[in-house]
Amino acid sequence: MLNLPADVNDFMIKLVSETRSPAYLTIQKDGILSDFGGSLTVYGIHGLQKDQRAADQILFLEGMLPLESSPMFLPYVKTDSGLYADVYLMRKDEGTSVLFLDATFDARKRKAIQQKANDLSLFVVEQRKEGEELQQAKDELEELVEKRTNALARANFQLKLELEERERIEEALRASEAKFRRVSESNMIGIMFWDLNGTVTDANEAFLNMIGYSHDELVEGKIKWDEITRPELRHLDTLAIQEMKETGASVPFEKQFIRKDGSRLPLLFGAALLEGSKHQTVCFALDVSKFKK
Amino acid sequence: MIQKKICMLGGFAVGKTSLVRQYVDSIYSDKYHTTVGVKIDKKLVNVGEQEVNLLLWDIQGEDGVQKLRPSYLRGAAGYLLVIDSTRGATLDTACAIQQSAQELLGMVPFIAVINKIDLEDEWDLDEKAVEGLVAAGWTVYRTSAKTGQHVENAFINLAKKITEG
Repeated sequence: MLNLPADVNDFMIKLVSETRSPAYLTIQKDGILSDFGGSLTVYGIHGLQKDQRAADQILFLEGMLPLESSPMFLPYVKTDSGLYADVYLMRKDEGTSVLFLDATFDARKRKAIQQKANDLSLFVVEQRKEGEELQQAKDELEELVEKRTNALARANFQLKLELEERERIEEALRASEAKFRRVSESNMIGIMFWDLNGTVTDANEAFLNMIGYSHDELVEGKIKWDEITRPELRHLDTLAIQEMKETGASVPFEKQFIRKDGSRLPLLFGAALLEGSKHQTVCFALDVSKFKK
Repeated sequence: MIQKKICMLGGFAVGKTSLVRQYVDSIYSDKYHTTVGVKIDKKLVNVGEQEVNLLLWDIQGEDGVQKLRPSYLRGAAGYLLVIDSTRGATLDTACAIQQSAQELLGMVPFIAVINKIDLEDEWDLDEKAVEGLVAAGWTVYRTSAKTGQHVENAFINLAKKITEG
């Protein structure tokens, strides 16, 4: 003991009595409530019955008794009145004493601090999760951008290959066209284009000279292939057209055109369908009148 | 009628108080109020033909400062171990608390409760770890103190384990 002077001791007891609302229970070894007193009503404890089981009346005592160690301390027990009590259970020869001391002020102060600490912890957890989610979204976006960039690079490469291929094809086409143009413009033989409906759509000078028509008449569509063919020989053209439809070209054959002036023109004639077309044809015509003489 | 003490254990802000409020009073509040010390509620239930007065000790949540106080656990017949489905760390806390509780109380019945399952988009638990608990023999309930889903089942199952054990 502190061996305090009687007046100090008395003051302490008075202070505790006035500020901490002490109350007590006395419980026998068999758990029966034998005595009680103090400020029990402050804690919302009413109507206690002596000689009855204590734990049936004071719920927190259920399972507590008998004590294995003493004193046992239950801090900040929230009571039915809303106040907090520090509860001490003390073992003695006859049973157990239970002491209640008001701890509401401390408990509320502690609660306020604890609330702030917990709120802060939850906020930190929330921030961390949001940070992780943002980082994940950023990583996913970067991955997507990388995939798209790679796909774009592949597409560009493919496009470049296709452009190069197209340039090669166009160059080959230009070369082919130049060769054909050279043959056509040389006027070594007559060349004309016509469709299966009978219209001559184009022709070189050699061909126009053979049949005696002008370039203007050609442009105006006045040259009809079937009209300039001798009627009795048209069956040869029918056979040639059939052959073209089947094989793409006709074997050269002899036929005769009728010139604009009415004279007859014997010639060697060959025709082929233009590539990819079922109606447009290209033909050559070789004047064989000299050989006939 | 018999009385049985049940402790609500788990990390802070996992929903222990909300589960008790939902079970006892069918009330839920979104606002978080930390628990200091302990608050004791009671709920009378029937387990078979046995009337049982469950004394629910809503004990302050454990964190780095507030550690589990043995005096609160004394005499408990069982406990609910509460885990927050939106905070993975509360599963580790629950496992540590279970170890302490077993040392203090022995092999008394307990049930693990994964709470806040209404926040399914915020799930943060390692599903394999949860499966591991079940494989280890834990009884696990997925609850929502907000909607009440599976709350009563969890308490009743624990009451059965206690009275039948």
